[in-house]
This record gives sequence, C-alpha cells and structure tokens, in this order.
Amino acid sequence: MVGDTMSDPKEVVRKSFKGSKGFVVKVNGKEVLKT
Amino acid sequence: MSVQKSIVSFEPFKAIELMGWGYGIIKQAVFTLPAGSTVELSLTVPKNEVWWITFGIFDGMPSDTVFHTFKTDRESHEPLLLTEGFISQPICPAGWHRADEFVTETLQNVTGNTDYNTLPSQDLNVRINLFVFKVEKQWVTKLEGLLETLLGEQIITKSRKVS
Repeated sequence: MVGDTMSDPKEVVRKSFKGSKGFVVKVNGKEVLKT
Repeated sequence: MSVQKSIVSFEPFKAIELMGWGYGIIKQAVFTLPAGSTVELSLTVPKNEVWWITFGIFDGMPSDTVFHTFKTDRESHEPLLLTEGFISQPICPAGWHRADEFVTETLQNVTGNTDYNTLPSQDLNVRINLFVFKVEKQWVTKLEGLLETLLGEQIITKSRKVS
C-alpha cells in the first residue's frame, strides 16, 4: 500500500506488480518475481 | 513529356513492419516502489531476436523522488533524477536503443532525502511503458545494410567484414 513504509519491500513489490510477461524483478538486489 | 520526381519517406520501423521483418509491442510494468528501496526490472531478449527500444516513458511519481538508470547490453547511462514525475518523462535518451541480450531499468526511491526533495520517506506508485520493436535475427543479419540505411549508422554498431 502506498504510504505504508512498514511492510517488507520485497513483498510490497511482489504483491503490487502488474505488467507484461517477461520481466525479472529484483528488489534491493534480490530477485522477487518473474512474470 | 515531363517527368515528376517523387520522394517517399518512411518511418524506418514502419517500413520494417510493412516488409514483415519485425513488429512493435509495449512492455508495461505497474508496481509500488517501496520507500528507501531500489527495484530493478529486466527483460531478456530472445536469442533469435534483436530489439530496438524506440521509446520509453514512466509516470505516476512526484518529481525529484526517483533515480533511474536505463541500460542495455550495448549501452549504459548514468543514473538520472526523475524531474517530471506526474506529467511523465522519457526513460531513455532520444533515439533508438538496440538490445541483443537484455534491457534493464533500475529505480531508486529517494523520498525523504532532503538533497532531492522535501517529501517524507514513502512508497511510490510507478508506471512504466517500454516501446519495443522486435526484429528476427535472420533479417538483421541478412538485411543489415538496408537496416543501416533505414535506421542510421549510429545504431548499427556491429562491425562488418570488408571483402
């Protein structure tokens, strides 16, 4: 949730991500998602 | 009998599309960029294709809150501060950017850093659109000369043998 800075960044990105296929997403250097 | 000379000019990628050598797609990503975090988005170019990033844009964030870096296997750029967040801003410099292996966009949330903005540290909504033109590698190889003519010398960096 935007504005909520208490959550785990990796989970925030993983849960919020919507987009095209083919992306590899890393958060602070760690891979969290492949679409 | 008079002869009239006509000059027909094509937008190069439209010409390539008309000839059936490639086509354009949009790669979109929408996500929350957590406070204090860096998110890297990567796309892998299939082995049988060459991509040209013809345009890229992102928006949704307040200005001066994100550093971003655009990179392909052929070019790398210094991190830039996003200065026009809400009205959108190009991701990469003007021109066409060839990628044979990968495209990477990195975003660093700098809200709360008083060197750049006066906002408290916070998560940000990000929306990115990359305009990708895909060309099958066989056509790039066979028709390199023509592509060079159509797309310009500057983006065909592969050296060619001189017989």
